[in-house]
Amino acid sequence: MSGKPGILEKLFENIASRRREYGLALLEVSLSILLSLIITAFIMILMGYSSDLSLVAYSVMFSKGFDNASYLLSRASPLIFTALAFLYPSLTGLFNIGGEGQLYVGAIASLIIALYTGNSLLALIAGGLAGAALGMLLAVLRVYRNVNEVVAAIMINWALFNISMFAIATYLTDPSIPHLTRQVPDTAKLPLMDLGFLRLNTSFLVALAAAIAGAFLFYRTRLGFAMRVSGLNPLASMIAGFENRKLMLASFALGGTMAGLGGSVLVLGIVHRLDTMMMSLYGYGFLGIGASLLGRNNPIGVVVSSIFLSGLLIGGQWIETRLGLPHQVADLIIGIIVISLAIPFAYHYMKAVLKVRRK
Amino acid sequence: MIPVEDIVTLLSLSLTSMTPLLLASAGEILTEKSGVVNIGLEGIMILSALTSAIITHYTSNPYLALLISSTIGLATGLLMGYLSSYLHSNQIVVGTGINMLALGVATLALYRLWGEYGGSPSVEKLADLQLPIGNAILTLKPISIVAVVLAVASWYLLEKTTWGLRIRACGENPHSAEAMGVNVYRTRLLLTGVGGFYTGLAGSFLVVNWVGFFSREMTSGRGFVALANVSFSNWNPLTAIVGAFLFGFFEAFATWLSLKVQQLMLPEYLTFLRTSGQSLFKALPYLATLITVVVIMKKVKMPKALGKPYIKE
Repeated sequence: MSGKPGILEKLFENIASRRREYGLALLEVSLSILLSLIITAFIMILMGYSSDLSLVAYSVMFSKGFDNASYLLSRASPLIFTALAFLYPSLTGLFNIGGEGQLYVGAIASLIIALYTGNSLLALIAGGLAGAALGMLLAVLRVYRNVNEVVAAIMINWALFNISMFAIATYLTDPSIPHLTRQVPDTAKLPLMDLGFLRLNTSFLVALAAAIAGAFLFYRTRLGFAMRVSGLNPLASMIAGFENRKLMLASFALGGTMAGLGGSVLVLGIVHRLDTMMMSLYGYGFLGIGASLLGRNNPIGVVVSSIFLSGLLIGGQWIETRLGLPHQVADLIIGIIVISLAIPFAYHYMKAVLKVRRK
Repeated sequence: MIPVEDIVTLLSLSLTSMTPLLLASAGEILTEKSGVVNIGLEGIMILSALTSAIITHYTSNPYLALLISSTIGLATGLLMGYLSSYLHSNQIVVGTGINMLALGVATLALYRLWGEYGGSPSVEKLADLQLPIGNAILTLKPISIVAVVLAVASWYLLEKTTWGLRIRACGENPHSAEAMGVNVYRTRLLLTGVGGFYTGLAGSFLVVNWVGFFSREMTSGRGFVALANVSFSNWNPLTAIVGAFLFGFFEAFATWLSLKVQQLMLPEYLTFLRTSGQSLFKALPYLATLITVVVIMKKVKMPKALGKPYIKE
């Protein structure tokens, strides 16, 4: 036990020494959330909704979105995974927009293995591997054929959406309920843990473990260091003797694994079956991008931002049932958050402009 | 083997599918030549298609819709351009944000105006041109001609004028461009705006000259196929015409095939193609696009400073 306080002390020291950096990140994130809420309200008023309706909507959204912790954490788990799927490659300087497609194959692979073996561990591994294979494909195209990974990923996402729909409708449906697939057997479900105040979904623990393992990999190991260097400055990384191509492949494989696991926990821990329209899968991959950016490209930050965005989505469903407003208001808010997050430079720019004006 | 009617039908469909791709990719080539990559094409298309549906629904004037929608495209392009040049934002991030924003706005507006998420009511369309070829009739959309003209004009601007040289300098080496006396920020801002304008026209075409209503899914990745076409055509607007036709053909062929299997006699083991197999036809154009890009990509040369924020010393 003597080692543990040492590690904790180190961690606190680390945080204290970077207080300014973390503080600035927190400020930027809060400002962009605030800005987004204001702009969304403005858009709603522009569309002819009464001006106090947006305030009512926000109060419903924030009070109802975050009041059921068990539901919130389980909703957040796949999102944490798809956010990590975007985050890990981006630390190596690559954009993994393919989280959506990787999530589909992960979910379907997990469902198939769960149906045939009834073992949750095997199903998780299958989901992760399927996602990794797809992630690797993007990396191979980028590294060896110079195909822009964003364009390739979008083509694959669209193709896989349709192919998955076909696979689900043709091979996996429950004969008695034609629009749903067969259910994951009880032995393969990820269990709920009753902690008294909270019914914790094991999916969340798996997601949390993936985030912590990622943080360790990227900030405490040689491989992670090499990946980050290659992302920040490919030339320097090459001179230092790191093999950029292999690092790109590795980071995309890691990203794909994350999205695949996201599909797995969604199937094994939360919905337990898929539908032929893929309603339960659609959108997690895209939303993960927003969650990753809002988490300021930090694995632990991503966990917090995924929980926050899930709260917004749940809140969005509440404003639909309570106020009859479309739940996509939440999507709008998230989109504007993403745009405003992309402009950290605005602050410095304005400072520079003011300085020039003063002269 | 295949009768003339089928070929002409395929040709009409291909030319129609080509149009939004060509408009968006010609615009995006101008944008990328100046050094900005705009991933938000899809979002701009959604916003302008939505605007077209609204304007045409209330005024029954498709021309006004074309004008206003392309202005919306221009405005969104300028926003993207401002963020990515003057404010040095990460271009992929802003583009992704624009895509998310557009989907949110579209849904909210659909619900507000017509009380449903699915789509808008049908609106007035521009008339098609009908050209008889033998027994068959080739349908040609007037905007398709506009698209080709704009692509050729863009090529002329880029390759044959001093303006084009300046634009290309911003994308190849912004520092030299600045030394040459070109305002890199302003050039990138304007060209991203122009790209948005073209894309706005593409979105508007979907509504007022093709489908005749707006739905959230109607752009179905066309913005990204256009991006694929930009690299396929090696950043040359003339080659982009060929590329857009090819990708348009993939889409047309998939549509045509999925209708054809309904009429043909199929052996027992292929009957699934009429039901759940229909999804496979939808996946076809994306796969074909991807494969084409993968085969061709190694040989192209992109603008050197593409996607990199330019920071003045």
